[in-house]
Amino acid sequence: MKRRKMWVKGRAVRRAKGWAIGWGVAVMLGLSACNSISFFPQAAAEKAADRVIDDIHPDNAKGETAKALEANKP
Amino acid sequence: MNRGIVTRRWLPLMLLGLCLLGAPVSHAEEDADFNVNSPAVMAIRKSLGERHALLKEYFHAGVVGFTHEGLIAIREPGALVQEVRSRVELLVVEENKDLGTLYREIVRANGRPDWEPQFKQVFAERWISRTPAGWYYRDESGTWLKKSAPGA
Repeated sequence: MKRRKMWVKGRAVRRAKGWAIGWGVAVMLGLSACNSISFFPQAAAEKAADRVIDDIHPDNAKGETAKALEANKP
Repeated sequence: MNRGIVTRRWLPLMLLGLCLLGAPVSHAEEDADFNVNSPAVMAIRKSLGERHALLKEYFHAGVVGFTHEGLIAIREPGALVQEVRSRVELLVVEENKDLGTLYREIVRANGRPDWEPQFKQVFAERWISRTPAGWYYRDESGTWLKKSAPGA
């Protein structure tokens, strides 16, 4: 009876270990994948595009950057 | 209980992993700022700016317009006399060559050449949204549309 109890306990430990390791590896792999893909910085790209357009076509409608700069003018 | 012991043992390792791998992800967006002042980009910006002075009258007249691909195109080539058409075609070819190089050089200067399609798309949207009223642009279906005045 005691041996049976010990075996059940051991099985529970092994299962818990397996779950913990499995989840740990999955989370790390997921984050690593996200990091290597890295999200395209849309807002930064739009600001950069506006800066370039302001320079090339100064007569075009003002972009967000130019608008913000104008709004902050003393 | 045993499960709790095992979880406690692995939890710090998992949290460490989250901190090490998660931090760059969460800061990727806020840290990103495109450098648009590299020598190569500046040279193209200058070239595009100079050509704009020549192209401006054709934009105003509706002869050329922006495309959804971040380039420019002649709206109705057949409606132009040969001499004008040749001149405009040359300008459009040179402009599109410079625009392509501009997008490529910006992403290259920022160490992310794989972002070129997305960057090109952003530029296309910005060109069209900032097109002055009365100028033309071509949408994804290939239809030429006249930009209306804001609030019109």
